[in-house]
Amino acid sequence: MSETESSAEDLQPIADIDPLIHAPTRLKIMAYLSIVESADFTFLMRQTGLTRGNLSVNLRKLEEAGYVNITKEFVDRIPRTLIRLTNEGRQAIQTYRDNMQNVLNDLLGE
Amino acid sequence: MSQEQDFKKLQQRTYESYHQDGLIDIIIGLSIIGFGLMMAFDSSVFTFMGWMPIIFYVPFKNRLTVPRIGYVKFSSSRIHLFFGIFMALLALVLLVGFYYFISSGSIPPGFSAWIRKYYLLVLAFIVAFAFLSAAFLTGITRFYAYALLVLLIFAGGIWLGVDPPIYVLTYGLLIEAVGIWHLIRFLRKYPLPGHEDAHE
Repeated sequence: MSETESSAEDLQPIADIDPLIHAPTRLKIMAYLSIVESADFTFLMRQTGLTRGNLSVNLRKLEEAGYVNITKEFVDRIPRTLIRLTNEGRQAIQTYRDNMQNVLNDLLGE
Repeated sequence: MSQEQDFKKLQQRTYESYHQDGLIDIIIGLSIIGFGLMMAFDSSVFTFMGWMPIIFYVPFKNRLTVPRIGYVKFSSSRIHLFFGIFMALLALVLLVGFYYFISSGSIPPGFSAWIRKYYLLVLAFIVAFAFLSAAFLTGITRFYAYALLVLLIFAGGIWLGVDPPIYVLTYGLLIEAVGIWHLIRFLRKYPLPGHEDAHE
């Protein structure tokens, strides 16, 4: 095996990291959604500390990737935007965690 | 710290944040006060106070908390675990009670007398265990204090020879006061957002 091939193999865990989740704002959103069944827009905004616009844009990206499901409902005639992770999203965050653990283990030489 | 621990901590922080409104304390406090009044007046009229507050929990949560910090539904597996512990505890209490009332004749007189004298201390241990379980599962740290408080107040009351309703009511009123204090702090910290900000 050549040295280049070996280096490429060493870097494989980093290449496996999902760039969509790796962005700090989206990682925050995914992390919060992974620990609850569902949350509304206000709750996510409060917990993540993101602005309305920032949260909206990033949620759209996650929705386009099929990681989150966004539904609108009315509770006591007040609209509520409910967000939940899809099965794909849950799998993606789990894979991300595993991959990050591998990368950290490799870096720390464990 | 492992990722699992990080996620568990995040989950507990989120849970604690959702219960910073003190509503759960107010409900528990009212239930205990109802129990204390029932003991004091030996009247079943106050029984309703033991369970009525539970009915108001969800409507109050929707009216006070959700418009301010939003809505969240926690994973049902955690809720099942939480209720599983409480149901197991309830079953234990019922079994002990059933055994006590049905076969009291077969209980050694010494034990029977001890139970009669210290039944509230036994109850205090059960309540303390329930609060400890809830605190461990949810991360609501003040529940640890409630667990310690029930043991101290009940043991102190028995030791000083205070009438049981007095220390039951004292315990209920203390939890109620903490709940109201949390609610006031919460309402001040999170004023109702304007109509534009209320929803996405």
